[in-house]
Amino acid sequence: MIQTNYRPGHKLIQRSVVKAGFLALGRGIESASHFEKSVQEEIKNWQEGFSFTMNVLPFGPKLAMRKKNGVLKMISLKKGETADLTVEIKNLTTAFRMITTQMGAHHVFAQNKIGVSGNIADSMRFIRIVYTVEAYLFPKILNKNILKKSPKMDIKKRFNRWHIYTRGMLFGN
Amino acid sequence: MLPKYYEFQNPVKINAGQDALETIPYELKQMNASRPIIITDKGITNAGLLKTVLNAFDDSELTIGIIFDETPPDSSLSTVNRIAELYRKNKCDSIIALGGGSPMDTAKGVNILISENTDDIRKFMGADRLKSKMQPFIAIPTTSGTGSEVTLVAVIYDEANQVKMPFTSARLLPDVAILDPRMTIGLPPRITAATGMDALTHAIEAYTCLQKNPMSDAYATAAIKLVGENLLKVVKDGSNKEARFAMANASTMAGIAFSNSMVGAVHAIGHACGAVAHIHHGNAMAILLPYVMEFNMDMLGNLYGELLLFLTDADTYTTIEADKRAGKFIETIKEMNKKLNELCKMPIKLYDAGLKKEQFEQVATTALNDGAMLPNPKELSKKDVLEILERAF
Repeated sequence: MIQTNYRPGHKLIQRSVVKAGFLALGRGIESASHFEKSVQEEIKNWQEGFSFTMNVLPFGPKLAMRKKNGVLKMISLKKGETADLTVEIKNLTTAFRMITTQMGAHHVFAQNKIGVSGNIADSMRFIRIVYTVEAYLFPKILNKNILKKSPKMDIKKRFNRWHIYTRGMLFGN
Repeated sequence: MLPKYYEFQNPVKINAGQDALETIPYELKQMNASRPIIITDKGITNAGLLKTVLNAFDDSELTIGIIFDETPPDSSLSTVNRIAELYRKNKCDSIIALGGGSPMDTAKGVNILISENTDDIRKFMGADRLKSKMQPFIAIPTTSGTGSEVTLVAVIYDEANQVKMPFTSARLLPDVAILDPRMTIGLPPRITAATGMDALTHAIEAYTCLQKNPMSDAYATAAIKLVGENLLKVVKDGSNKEARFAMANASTMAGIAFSNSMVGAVHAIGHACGAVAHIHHGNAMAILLPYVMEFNMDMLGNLYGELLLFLTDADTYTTIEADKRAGKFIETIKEMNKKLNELCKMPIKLYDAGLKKEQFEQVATTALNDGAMLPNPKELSKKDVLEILERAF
């Protein structure tokens, strides 16, 4: 067979799952930044207005957030606007595996499937925030795949998890 | 067990051994370059190494565009900018880095500025940001430790903002690395010891961290074997050319291994010790290595056990029960440190290296924000880092 101008198809299911996953992660981060001490400690190091984005190459989905009034808010970056920290996942399938808890952020970094533009210390803070929120979003059995160490879920943390799943997912606080 | 996925890249041509320096004019010609800049430091000039390199250009058709030997001990933004300006003004067309980590990182920084045709290197900070074809680049290491001649990383210090800027890109890899025994023969015993332990740490962390893969494992184990056989020899007798050359090879192989597998918590904490207390990187590696390994033991014990074969010999390895090999491996490294301390006063405790107890907090916080923490298979909290520092103090 000789075929010219072959146009690749689309991974619609993966794209939809990643989009939904980014939204849930973003809402979770927004919510956790209101009450979770470890997240607040990380944010403290960022100046008001600091922004970060996690993009899937080549054309999204994207998750962008900015520090506003001491907490993190999901935002849409204007065309041409760059964030202080940009984390780029090199392809959609990797983002899908991350969002579906098949791979942790450290595995994705280890496999060189992420590019970072910005300060390394900021990217380490970003990863720790993602870890903290993932620990709330997913049950322990799934967290084992994506976290190096699963945190203990005491009563307070269980309440926080319930908070993120309800109010956090709806309103982001 | 093989990883589910890995990437491995080492396009650097390695010219190693007798008269390796004399191959430089030919290599430059092959890359259509005829007017290189040499980036080095005063120590290299004073040690006579620059002269040896310049002699290698005799009877060639090349002109050295500039010789710059004012590289500071930590490569800095202002130096990189200054050299790039000189490079452009003098119409150079290729870069030769001569020295240890600082001239190498400086040269990589200059290559970014020139190749990306920019005045602001900060735009390219991070991973995989470089898109342009780079200038022909030859690296001549004068220590056997950093492995910079085969790594894709550069760290440049931004004095104005007081931050270390990391740049990671395969485009930063030199085209050719020259391992010439003449370049390391005069290295003082203490630096030989510290840089040798740095190379050993690169190899051990490459073999045990999350990004390990069969290709990097091959380089890492070969490097460990060469360090085990030669480091003490070369510290005892610096004029031993064969052992010097073996260590240069070990350093380069460990560099290839960790450039592809990354390093772990020993480096993260070591970088922090350097940033906070200005502890020599190699000394920090030698001191911290056994203590971080003890921390990682429950997760990485089997891999440490495997490495015993390479650091000692088959007889020792086989006479030790499988579950005791990891412990023996760590013990062997502690013994090496002790012998190096006796031979050349290489510090084996953080206190002796200049760290103060009141700096522990700052070191721990800085270490947790170091990129090398991520590939370490075992999670470290601040408390864990503080405990390691306490034990190594």
